[in-house]
Amino acid sequence: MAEAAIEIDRLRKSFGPKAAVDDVSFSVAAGTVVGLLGPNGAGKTTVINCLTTLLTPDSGTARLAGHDVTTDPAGVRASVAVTGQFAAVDETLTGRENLVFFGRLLRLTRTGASARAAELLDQFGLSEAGDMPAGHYSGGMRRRLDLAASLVVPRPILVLDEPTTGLDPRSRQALWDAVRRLARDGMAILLTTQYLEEADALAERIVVIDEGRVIAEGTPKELKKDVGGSVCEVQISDAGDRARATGALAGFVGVKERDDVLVVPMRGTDELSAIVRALDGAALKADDIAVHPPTLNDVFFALTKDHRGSEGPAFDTGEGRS
Amino acid sequence: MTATTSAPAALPTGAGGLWAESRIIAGRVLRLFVRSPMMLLATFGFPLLQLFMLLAAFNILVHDTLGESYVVRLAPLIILITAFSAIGSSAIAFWVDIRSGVFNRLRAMPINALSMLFGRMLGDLVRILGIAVLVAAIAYLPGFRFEQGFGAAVGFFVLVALFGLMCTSIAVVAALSAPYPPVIMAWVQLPTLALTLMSSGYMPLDAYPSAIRSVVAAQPVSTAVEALVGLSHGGPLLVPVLATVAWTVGISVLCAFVTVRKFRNFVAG
Ligand SMILES: Nc1ncnc2c1ncn2[C@@H]1O[C@H](COP(=O)(O)OP(=O)(O)OP(=O)(O)O)[C@@H](O)[C@H]1O
Ligand SMILES: [Mg+2]
Repeated sequence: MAEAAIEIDRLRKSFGPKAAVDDVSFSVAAGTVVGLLGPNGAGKTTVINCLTTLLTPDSGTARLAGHDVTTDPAGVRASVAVTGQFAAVDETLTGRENLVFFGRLLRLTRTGASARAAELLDQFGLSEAGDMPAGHYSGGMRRRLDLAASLVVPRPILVLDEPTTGLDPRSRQALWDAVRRLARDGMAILLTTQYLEEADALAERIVVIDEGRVIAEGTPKELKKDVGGSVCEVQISDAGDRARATGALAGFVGVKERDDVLVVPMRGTDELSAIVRALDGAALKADDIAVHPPTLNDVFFALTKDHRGSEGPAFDTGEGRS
Repeated sequence: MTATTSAPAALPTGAGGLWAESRIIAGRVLRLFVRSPMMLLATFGFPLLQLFMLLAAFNILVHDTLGESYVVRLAPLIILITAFSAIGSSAIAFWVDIRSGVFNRLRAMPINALSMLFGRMLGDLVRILGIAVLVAAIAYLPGFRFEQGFGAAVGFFVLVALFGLMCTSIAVVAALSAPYPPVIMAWVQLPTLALTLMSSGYMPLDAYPSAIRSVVAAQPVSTAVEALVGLSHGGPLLVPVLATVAWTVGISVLCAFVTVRKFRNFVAG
């Protein structure tokens, strides 16, 4: 088999005594999307920065399109487009001027750069805002412009650092569509995210890192199987009622109490009616009942249990409380 | 993704590539400058105001004591002031630039990292020269003239360019050294103000107390004013021109050493 577009082998990077990336290996093949999933401070951006030559790894190798980041950074830069975690467009320039500026730097002719800018503005739904300073753009528009700026001259590899953080559902969907299109056209895409849902929607494979180490790797399906199914959250404000409910739900495995919520793991959707019947049987009325698919919180909790002992991750996306 | 309308030409490397990239980045520097009313005011509007206010206040006085029009000395001084006032604004802009996402994007692109530095300096030089030409043209109204011929006029702007090179070199060092932007103004404002006020541009040398006269005469703004007066109105030329070249080139070279070391750290990340 030909060499994968991105090939990372035992990558390490420390800041002072602290290892931000500690022995990370994985690869991304052309035409596929790999999601790099991890909580704040996991080392996602550090991995990306090593891949895009913004940081020099302490040890290990990373090869992109056959170019080694340490020995051939120029070759890497010519093969990789990157959209960083924080917007990298000039706020004083208009969207169009930003794209023309980057295009000209990459040796497009004046007319070529203008044509390409118009094409990208159109593709990312920014035609109308094209002549407005990027500083006046909304967060979602800026993110789209940022991605467009990475695509001015097509590269075989695209690296995206939390591309949809802070976007509303519609903008997120639009960005996902764009990423899927690019992968279909043969790009190798590595994207970091904190949302399982996003990795699920886009990535063929997911690499989960925490504290600089790979703690799990596989298809979304495989990972979710490891984590288990959905949970049912039963909210009961009255402490006495809640205690009685805990008793009524004793037949269910692994019920946990979190504030005024009882979290009941479910093995199938039919368990919902069983839960409701058990509460009815005890003449209890819940203030709220909600069913949630496994959230990143659950994934992490499950995945990091072995690796951190019983302590669990210091991590809360605020998801799963909606 | 749709088909690209235009494939990029092969990336030229080396000096040709660096020059092409620096020009594009200089274009951005100039565009941002023209869009910033505050910068326009600080580096162009305000010095111009100074020109006319000082002329209105002191023209008759200076004319009576020196027997020459004040604008002959004042216009060159104002041109040097516009170059000086470019230091602070340029340093702050560059300070922000090299910490911005755009800088990181450029670092990850297949271009010469030095183009970010040279582009900034080239942009500064063009703007300093452009403003110098404008000020010289406007000072024509109150009587500023190039009386020494075409060659001398060209020499006049070459000296302004050297002075500008010194200014942008200082700006770059300030941007690379300052922990945060307000520090830059503190570093830059007082020394440049002192140098302009204590120069032979505002007051003729004879008006200074004899104790500091030689210091005033030797400092770069004085030598530059004398040289520029010599190249426009006429007067002693050789010594002030040589002194000005020595000052500006010397300081620029010094700055270059510091810049190369510090900028490398910034690019390395
Ligand atoms: N330049 C730096 N100097 C010192 N420490 C750093 C530096 N960059 C990152 N770190 C540390 O390395 C670790 C990994 O950081 P990194 O930015 O890679 O995490 P991340 O997964 O991208 O997090 P987030 O989701 O918050 O963006 C963190 O503990 C961080 O504090
Ligand atoms: Mg990050």
